[in-house]
Amino acid sequence: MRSWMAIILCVFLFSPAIGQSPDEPLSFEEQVDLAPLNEVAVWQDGRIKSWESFSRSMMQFVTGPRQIDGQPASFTYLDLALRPEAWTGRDLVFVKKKPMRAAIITALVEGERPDVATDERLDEFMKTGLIAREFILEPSVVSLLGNMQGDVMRFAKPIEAIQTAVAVAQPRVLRRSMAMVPPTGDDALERPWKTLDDISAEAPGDAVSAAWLKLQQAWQAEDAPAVNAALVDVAAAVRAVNPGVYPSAERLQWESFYFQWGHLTWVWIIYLFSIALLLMWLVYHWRGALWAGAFIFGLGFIGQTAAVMLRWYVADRWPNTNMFEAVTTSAWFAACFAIIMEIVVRRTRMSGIFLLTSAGCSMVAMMATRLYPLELSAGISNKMPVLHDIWLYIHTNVIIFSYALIFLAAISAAMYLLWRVVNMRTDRDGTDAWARAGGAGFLIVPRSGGKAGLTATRTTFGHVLDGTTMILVELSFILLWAGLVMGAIWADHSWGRPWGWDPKEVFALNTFIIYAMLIHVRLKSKDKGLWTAVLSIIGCAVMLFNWIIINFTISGLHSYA
Amino acid sequence: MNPLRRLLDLFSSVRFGIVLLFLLFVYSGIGSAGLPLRFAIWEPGAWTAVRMWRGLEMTEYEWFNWWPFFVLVALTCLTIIVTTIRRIPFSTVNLGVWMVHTGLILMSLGCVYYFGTKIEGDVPLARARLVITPPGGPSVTMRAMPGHEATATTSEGPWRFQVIDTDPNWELLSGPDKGQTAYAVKIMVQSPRAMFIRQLLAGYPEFTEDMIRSNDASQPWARAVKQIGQPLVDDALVMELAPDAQSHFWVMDSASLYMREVARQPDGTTTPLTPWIERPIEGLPRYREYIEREQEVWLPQGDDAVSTGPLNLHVPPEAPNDPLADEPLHITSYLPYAALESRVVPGGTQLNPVTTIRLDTSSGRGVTHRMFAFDENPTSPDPSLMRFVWIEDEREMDRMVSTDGPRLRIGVPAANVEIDADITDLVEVDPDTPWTPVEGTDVEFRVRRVDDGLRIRGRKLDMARVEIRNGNRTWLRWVFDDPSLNGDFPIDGPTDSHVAGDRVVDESVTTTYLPMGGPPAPVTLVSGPGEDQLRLVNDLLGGTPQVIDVPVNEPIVLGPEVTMVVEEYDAQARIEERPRVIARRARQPKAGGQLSMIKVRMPEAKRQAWLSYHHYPFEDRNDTLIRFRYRPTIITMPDGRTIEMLYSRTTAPLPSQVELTGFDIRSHVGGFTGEVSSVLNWVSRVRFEDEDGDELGQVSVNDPRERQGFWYFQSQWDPPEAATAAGQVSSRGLNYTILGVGNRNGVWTMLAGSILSVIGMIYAFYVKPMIKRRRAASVYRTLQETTS
Repeated sequence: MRSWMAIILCVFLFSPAIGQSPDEPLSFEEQVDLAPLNEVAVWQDGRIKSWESFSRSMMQFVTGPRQIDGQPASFTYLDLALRPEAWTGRDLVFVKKKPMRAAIITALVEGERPDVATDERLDEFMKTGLIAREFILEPSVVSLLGNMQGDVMRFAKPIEAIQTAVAVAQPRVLRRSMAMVPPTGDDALERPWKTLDDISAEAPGDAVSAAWLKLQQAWQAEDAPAVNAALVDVAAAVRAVNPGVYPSAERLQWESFYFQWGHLTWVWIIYLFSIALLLMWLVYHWRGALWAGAFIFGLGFIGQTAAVMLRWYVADRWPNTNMFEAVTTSAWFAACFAIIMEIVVRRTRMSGIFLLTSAGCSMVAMMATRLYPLELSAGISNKMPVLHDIWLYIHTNVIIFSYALIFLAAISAAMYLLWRVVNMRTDRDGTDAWARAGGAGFLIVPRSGGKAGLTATRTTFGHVLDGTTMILVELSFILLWAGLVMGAIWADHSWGRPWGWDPKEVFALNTFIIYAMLIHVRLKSKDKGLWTAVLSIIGCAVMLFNWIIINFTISGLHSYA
Repeated sequence: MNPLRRLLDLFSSVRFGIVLLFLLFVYSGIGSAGLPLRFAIWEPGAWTAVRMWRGLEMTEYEWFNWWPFFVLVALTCLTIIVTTIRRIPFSTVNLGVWMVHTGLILMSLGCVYYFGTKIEGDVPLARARLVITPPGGPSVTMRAMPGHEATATTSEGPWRFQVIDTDPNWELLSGPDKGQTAYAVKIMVQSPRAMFIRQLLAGYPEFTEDMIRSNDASQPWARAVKQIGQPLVDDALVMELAPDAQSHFWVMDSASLYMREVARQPDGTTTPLTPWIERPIEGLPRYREYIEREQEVWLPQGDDAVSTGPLNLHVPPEAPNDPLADEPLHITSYLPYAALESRVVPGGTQLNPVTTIRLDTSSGRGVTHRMFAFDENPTSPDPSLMRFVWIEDEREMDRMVSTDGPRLRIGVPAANVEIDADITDLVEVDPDTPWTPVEGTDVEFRVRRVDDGLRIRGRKLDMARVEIRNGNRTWLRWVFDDPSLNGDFPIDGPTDSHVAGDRVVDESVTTTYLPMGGPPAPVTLVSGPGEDQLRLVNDLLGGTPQVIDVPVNEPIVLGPEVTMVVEEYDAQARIEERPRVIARRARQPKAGGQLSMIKVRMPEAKRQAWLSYHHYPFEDRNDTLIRFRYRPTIITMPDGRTIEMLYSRTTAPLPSQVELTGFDIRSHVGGFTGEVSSVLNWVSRVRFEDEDGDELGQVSVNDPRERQGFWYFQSQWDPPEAATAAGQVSSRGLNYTILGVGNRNGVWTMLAGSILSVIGMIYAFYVKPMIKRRRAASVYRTLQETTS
């Protein structure tokens, strides 16, 4: 909902006259223009990132998904690094788990509670998860975390996250991470970048040092015009050190845009509108709703495609190497597939169903990335060495495409069950409405009267939904199996064995087993539609279990995506 | 009905097939994820791994190689075969399902062959092995790893060698390969005559050179060729880097006992008399605790308690030259996650005071704590508030209750003079501190500085540095609270040799440092000087500290809200070393079996020993790799022989001898930083040697190498590591690689089956309906033509 509000607010707040009273002086933060930094690169972990991407990834360690005072992460980063005294005692460190928040509050209250740790502030911490570094460093809290860390299974990771947050929030760590100055010489690509402080120490009279000094002084004096001028100087100076190895300004600007615009995952809201309209079409058969729904779906798809392509461009690799990319790219695959299928079935009763299921899939995928920004982190990092292989593109894409189809099938299966329930109540259902046999083939094989199931007059909407499910199930069945085989081929030449009974492998196989059961149950069951729908949903649950629980709770070799 | 027909009907039942698929699903799910214990299945710890339950204890590989799984797969295959033959006519329409089913059967056959013959493990390969031959002495060898050291005894005396540095990317500055990099090893050589550093470059013996001490402080070690005009200090010392060839690998998830006879050396080390002899261990548990007697280990208590069970595994000898061939060996305990730990327990014969106290507050909160008087690190709930100490005599108690400042007791025996002087001024604070005369003598003194609470070799000592002048002579004396430790030094301060050697004291002047009085903590429990004496020095109330006798199990009021009860006191507690079972919740899942321990019992010899897991059975300390343990257990047998034992993995032969000729890191932009995130790939350059000859190859991630039916793939590497303890040598890393090794029989059969089934699925789902559609359309067309 926040994204929705943000879109509307963006429109109105573009004019400062609306959002800001003319009499009210602008704050330092509001006056600082960080735009020059959109063209500044930072070297981190063997990757050259835009300042925006870098500062967000660093601040995510500290503040988690929270923004401090509504500031952009890039501003908070610089402010913490250059004006640390302003952040003393501020609530900054994010504690994710509520039981941990409660335990920290108890430790503070029972220990030597600082005067500033008021009840209201602790209540706020319980709600937002943000707490001051100084509170975390209270002996009673340090002791608590030390004891809790002994429980490796439950608390090692969250406590490590808190410790990382406390460490990263130190000004010297932040400054030490600002490797913005490229190396020079023939082997510049193989040598590490230097921080602005390094350059200041090595060459105090250098243009970079001068600009950096100017920025520090201006920032500490909260002199916004001087800061803005210094930012321009810093951006120009660091690029001038070695323009040959510096990324193009265009690339850095696009990367900054990508992150500043929330990796375009807010397009889920567009898909939500599309779903509403397409549902109207399916329920009331308003053709206008179909056209409007398809049009809005198209808008969402354009946004989604832009997100995928932009990420491909700025990451310089196809986006499928971490959870965020796997989730968003698989949804994009589903959207592409839905559009193709809609063209194929455009004049049939199946029209609109693929768009609807795909809109549901994309909406859920992108909402998930916004609801769980830490688990599905959008940060761009280098691929693990094992992923540098052509099979990453073949195996992973085939598997995530099959997963997307499984999700689509579950949506159409759920719609079928809903249709059954509705028709059961109104007594408009009969055994005749049950899908009979033959899976997706039923839709094209002529029945009595010479017409194919999809166009026959006796074909009910239930037949159509069941047929949609089967189209999706059959294709995902093949793709899942093919993806498993391809994964085995890759594992064979990567790890020396095609199959290692890794939990992720096993549950991909288990998903396949569910669909194998579905296909055989369909042969024997009289109520084929019902069993198809139920097993489709179970198959989807197993697939999601594999993607979520196996990845985050039961670790394995495939936990990167 | 004919039973055979019934059976055939059963195996041609689709319903039976569905049931089998369901059972396969359940079996796989339970074996892989386990069973949920709570509704919140996303929470860590919500799952119990069934295959790790006592009585099962299988790896994933073993779970899926267990007979129930084989039975399920066999029944499924049988059902597929019978159903296909009996119920699916072989026709164009059914070609797809025939292909799918045939593909699955083919794949299953491939799996049976693959998993039935699968062997997998790893082999570590060091960059080089250092072979050293001192003049007139025996050769010594060691893996080139930072910190490794060896001694060779010659007629001249001992030669000591220590690898002080390795550089995986030493840039060649001359020669035909100028600009390229080589693996460099620097060895500190301490010969009976000189000390120098020798540098060797792998593959470039002509560039071997020595470095010797120079007078240039900015470059303390300089090239010998520049200093003495020749590259080598001692030509007769032969040192070379040889390949670290391996002809065996170590099998994954296996266990073996290794033993050999050794001779003890005077310095406590051992020299092998026989090679390692291996006894494979069958049926060793993996995940649960099996303990012969619970008193043998430190078990976690309370919420962390673990359940234990009995174990008795016989490990028979297999090799003819087994040094314990006549000795039955039994494994009677197994701990999957433990570490040896020394603790103090009551019932000893030597002085070692231990007390257990309970502190209660008026609000009802209580805490129990055990404190050790001789523990180097004060053991107390809060050492700044409470301490437990031992005193040798009543003078120490007097000092504890005294409020005097620090003093110096100085005397001149010849003049029969001794005075106690308060220490009020320090030379370090005020360089113009006046000299204080010792009345009636020529002796004067002034105190330079004081250091209280020093910890030297386990003792807590207090010291003052005193400048003493006697006539024309001035010197510095370290004056301790224990005068036997005093030492005299030149006025400019002690040199290293003075500190290390015996100290000389001018006995014409006697000195004792009397540090500031008062207890070490506001609440100090004091035991001694009698072993049954336990007193409390309470300094909480201000003024002179109060001293009271402390009876056991009687409350003592420390303050208005705190009461203390001494629950136990033992002046002669003893130290026991046992494996500490680490609580389940504190275990790092990634540790695997690295922290496992077994207890071996030899009933005939009446010997038993705990053995820690070793990833590799190294030959000796110089054969080790950084980060891998080497701590064999030494057992003295009744017949006087000394046996070393080690618990590790099973060794298996490689079809080819393999050695590392180079190890490179390909990095992302910015170069290799030491972090994995900067690594693009690891590349091991290897040489294979077998009956088919030599072959050079390259193994990297996603690019394995096959040789004689075995596949070698990049598995682990040696990252840089900073020294974290005194005496440790930091490492730039890349000193070794670890290659995974395994066979892969039946892979092509599996692949063929898989591809066939994929083609079959496409046929069944997309070709078959088209055929049926065409046929149906044809029928309708015929019908229409007939009716019209």
